[in-house]
Amino acid sequence: MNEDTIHDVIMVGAGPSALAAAVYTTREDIETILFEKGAIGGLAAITDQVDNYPGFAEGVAGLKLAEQLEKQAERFGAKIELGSVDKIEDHGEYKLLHTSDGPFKAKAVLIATGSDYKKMNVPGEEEYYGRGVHYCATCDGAFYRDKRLAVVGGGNSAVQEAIFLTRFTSHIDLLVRSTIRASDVLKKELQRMVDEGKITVHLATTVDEIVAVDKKVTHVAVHQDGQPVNVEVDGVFVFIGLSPNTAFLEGSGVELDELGLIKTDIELHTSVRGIFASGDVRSGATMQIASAVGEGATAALKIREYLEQPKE
Amino acid sequence: MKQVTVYSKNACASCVMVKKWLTIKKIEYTEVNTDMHPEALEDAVKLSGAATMPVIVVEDSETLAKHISVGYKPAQLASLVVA
Ligand SMILES: Cc1cc2nc3c(=O)[nH]c(=O)nc-3n(C[C@H](O)[C@H](O)[C@H](O)COP(=O)(O)OP(=O)(O)OC[C@H]3O[C@@H](n4cnc5c(N)ncnc54)[C@H](O)[C@@H]3O)c2cc1C
Repeated sequence: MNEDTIHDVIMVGAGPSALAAAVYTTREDIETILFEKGAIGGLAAITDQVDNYPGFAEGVAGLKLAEQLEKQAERFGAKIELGSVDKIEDHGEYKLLHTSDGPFKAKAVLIATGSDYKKMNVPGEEEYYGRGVHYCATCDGAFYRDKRLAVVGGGNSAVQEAIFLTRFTSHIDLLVRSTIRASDVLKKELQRMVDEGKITVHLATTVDEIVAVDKKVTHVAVHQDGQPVNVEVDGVFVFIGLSPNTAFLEGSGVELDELGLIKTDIELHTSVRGIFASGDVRSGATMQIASAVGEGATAALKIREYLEQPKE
Repeated sequence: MKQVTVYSKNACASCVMVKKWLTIKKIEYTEVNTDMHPEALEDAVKLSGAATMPVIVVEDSETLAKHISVGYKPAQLASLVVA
């Protein structure tokens, strides 16, 4: 591919939002390239079971949904590059993307980079990453068969993943900073696990340190209601929220909100003409696969309109 | 000559990505699926010292030097298998 080629559209990320957008653009014969630095399917690919995505009466495994989205986009000609976009420059009629595979130019860009797990930033967290500290239950849960785990967090993801992990563990301590903020369905399921003795919920609990002996995690040092307590575990799974993948936009002119999410207008256009944003990375997003997919479709149609407009 | 072995499991997006990456780069590999061979899970932990998947073992058939990579890290994989 020639470095001077100006592609129709480049999408940054290949999560549900960009893959849905790519189905629409490619079906309109708009040449589409996606760059993905992690897993194709994004966060959906590492989610065990998705029960609220319309069209799947019995639910669907996240990885299966991701694979189907990928196949559907590729069926119409989307090209997925395994690499990262590290910087974007606006040159008016084209955008220059600095990628791990070199420079790429495109008339329009869709940013659908989602977000990454937030870290607790406590001693032991980085040191024992992958060796007792984890962020993906479907990836690493099986290593904790008949072991004790702590799950940190009180939102939908933490509760959902704690429930999932009970299929492996002997017991889970759910460490919640304030109170449970999960949906009613998840709260009910959690209560069932508590009644069965599989999960113990610790409210008003903050994590101070992950402690290991001979490089094996042995306990989590916490403060519960202001008192120091040690919770004995073999591993810790952390789900305390997400932070948007927007650092690479520094200097691009794309405006962010105070949380680092991308501001768009109602047509999903960012502050830079020709650069659009959709999915979890967008300010005001509802952080659901169905809405990320819907926004992807909207963005694709608005990109088509943008490409059809005469350029002055 | 490099011999590449991928310890994987079924519901594992990073395992899918490592296999996809190796296929795109036309690098042959042997897969050990630890869901089908649970006894191999312990081998993977011993090799990597980590409780995470996938574990990729790159062995130089001449020097017998073994290099291990854990998770999906394309830059690290490239330096191990392409060099
Ligand atoms: C544990 C958990 C469980 C969940 N369960 C559900 C559920 O049951 N139902 C539901 O509807 N939603 C669920 N969600 C939320 C859902 O996964 C997200 O809303 C959805 O994946 C958002 O899609 P997206 O395409 O906007 O972003 P993402 O899925 O985050 O995809 C963005 C992609 O962009 C890539 N990327 C980022 N930066 C770059 C870059 N610079 N260059 C190249 N690529 C880049 C990332 O690697 C990623 O693959 C869950 C989330 C989590 C964490």
